[in-house]
Amino acid sequence: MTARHGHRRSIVSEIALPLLLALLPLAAAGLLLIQQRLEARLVERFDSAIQAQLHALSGVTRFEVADPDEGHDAPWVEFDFDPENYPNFDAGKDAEYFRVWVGGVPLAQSRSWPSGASAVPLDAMPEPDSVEFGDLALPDGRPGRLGRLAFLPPFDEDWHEVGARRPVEFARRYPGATRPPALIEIAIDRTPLDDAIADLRLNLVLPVLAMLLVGAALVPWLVRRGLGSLRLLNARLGGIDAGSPDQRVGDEGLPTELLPVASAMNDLLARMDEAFEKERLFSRNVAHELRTPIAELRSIGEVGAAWPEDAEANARFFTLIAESAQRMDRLVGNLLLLAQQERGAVQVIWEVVDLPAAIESALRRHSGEGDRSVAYEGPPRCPILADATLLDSTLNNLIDNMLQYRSDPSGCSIRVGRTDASINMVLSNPASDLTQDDVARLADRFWRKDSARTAGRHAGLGLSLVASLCKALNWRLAFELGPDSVLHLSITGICGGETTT
Amino acid sequence: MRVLVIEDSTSLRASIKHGLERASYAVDTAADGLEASAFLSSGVYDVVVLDLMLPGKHGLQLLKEMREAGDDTHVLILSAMAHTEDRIAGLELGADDYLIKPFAFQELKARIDALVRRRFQLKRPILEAGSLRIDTAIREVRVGDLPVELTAKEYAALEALMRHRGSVLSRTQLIERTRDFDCDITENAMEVLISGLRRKLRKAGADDVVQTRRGFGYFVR
Repeated sequence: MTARHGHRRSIVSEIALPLLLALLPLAAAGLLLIQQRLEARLVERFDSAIQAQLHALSGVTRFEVADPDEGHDAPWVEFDFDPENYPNFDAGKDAEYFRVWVGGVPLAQSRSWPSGASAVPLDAMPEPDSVEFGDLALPDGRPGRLGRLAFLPPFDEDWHEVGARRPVEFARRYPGATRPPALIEIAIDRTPLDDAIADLRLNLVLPVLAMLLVGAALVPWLVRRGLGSLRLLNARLGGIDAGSPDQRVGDEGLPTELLPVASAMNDLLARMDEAFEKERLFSRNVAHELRTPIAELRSIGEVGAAWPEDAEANARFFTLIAESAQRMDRLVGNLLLLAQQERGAVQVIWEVVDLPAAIESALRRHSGEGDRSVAYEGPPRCPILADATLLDSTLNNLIDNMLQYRSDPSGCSIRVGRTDASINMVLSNPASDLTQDDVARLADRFWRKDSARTAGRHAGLGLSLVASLCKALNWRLAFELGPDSVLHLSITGICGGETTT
Repeated sequence: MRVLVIEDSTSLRASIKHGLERASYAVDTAADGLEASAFLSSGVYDVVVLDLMLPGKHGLQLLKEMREAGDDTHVLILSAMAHTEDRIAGLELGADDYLIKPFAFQELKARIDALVRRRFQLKRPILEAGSLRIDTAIREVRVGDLPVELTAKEYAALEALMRHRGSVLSRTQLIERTRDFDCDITENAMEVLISGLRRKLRKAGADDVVQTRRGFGYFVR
């Protein structure tokens, strides 16, 4: 067998794969964002520690007035740093570093810093009260974090006493500034920060990765579990075999989304059941209709063969055989015609046909069967657009039905009326034994008021044929039982021809 | 033996009547339920062959009326209605047998024969009186090993007498069991028929099988 449809993907993969493809980038982006925020927070906290030290060192920096007695002829900056208080800046394995500039000139540096600091041009000094951070390699080669604080050293408390004389002097030395700007740099080992970031990454990424892996496994499982209802529905549908179309899909345990599917399936099954029932009824009716003529033929044949010397009886039997065969022929012919019309195999040849002439011809065909007088009311000529053969068959069945089943020999009539666009024909016959329920079944196949097959000629297909013929001719067929127990069979269609009165 | 065939199909009615008559049954026929009711009221039938879908009155209704009226004539339903529920309905209403159309005529005849035997409580289709032997299945009469050729009516009269062996059947009763309504037999004609029957039996070696009870009728001892 050829695999016409190629590889089929399951609904599970149809849902799980896009879900995973959408979830993974989202999770990765989320993870990245969280990681960046946490890392920034760690760096910020690390930097805040450096900043605290920067402020501590700036606190021991004073702009002092000139004091010639102490050897300071001009205002000067004192960096009152006590190494005892800051052992971390001593030289050693875990040493931290600082340097201080005042007015671009190196003022002090930690003992841990092996080389001397070079001067910083004034215009390269950062703006006062600004803090900067960055990375660098420490003098001993360790990765470091650098903090720079630019500030204006506070005035010594004696400054106000000497007042205006000092700034003028200062201004001469540092044009444009009231005090020399100071800069403190602190560099510390950033390994703890890097370790913390590494720990963060490890502790964040690994669980998330694990969660993603579990999620990748869970999503298909969850989807498969969620689709369990579909499997349930499928199992219920699979449990309905062709031999029991009266079964229905139970809706117990089905989610609301699948209830319409189950309902639609049940509707479909109901329609199939109805079709099967019609098929069974049809077969049963056909078999029933054929049983009697077959029984007739068989019985006549067997009895005739048992006593072949009885020529008189056998001659009568031959006549009866012919009648039975004709009945079967009529039945099969009608069934074939119905089948042809149902599948649209009957070709309609449209032509202009004179309806009153067609009615007269059909009536004449039945005139040999006793008193068949039927009153005709309508124009003497009434051309319509129809298929002459189908029209003749329609009229033949209608008139046959009217004459066969009238409850009173008189009172049958055919009325023809037309407007510019449409033609209407009504056949009426007394039908005192019919009920409204019977009228609703008139066009049912094999339906007869009298269930006996006595008439032989009638299998209950005549009006079914008429209904089918009317459909082929685009005519509307209606049955109505009047209050006077007169049955009216009405046919309405498009006129098509020119009328002559 | 007298059979009523109630069947609306002309062909079936004619062929069954012809076949059963050739098998020495006296056969009446009715084409609809109302006509059948009239025939049944005579109460002279040994077996009724009953179609169900009859004009005028449904076969099951007819059967119901028969049983309600105390008529226990054996009824064989002959119908195109082949469903189990149809058969059950017929049998439950009191039918003795059910045969579905189309059928083999020989089967119909065999079933009617069986119903006749059942009516007379016989297990075998053989009726015997001394050296006289009747095989009712094949309508054969023998005296010893010698076959006796009888007409259908002679056979019917002899079978009726043999079935009621030891009882006297009046001429009227014999007429009822040997003729149908289409063919009248007078009492004189019955006397002639019995006379011919006795002659044929005597010729075959069976003297005095059919005896006369003067003023009452005939019997087989």
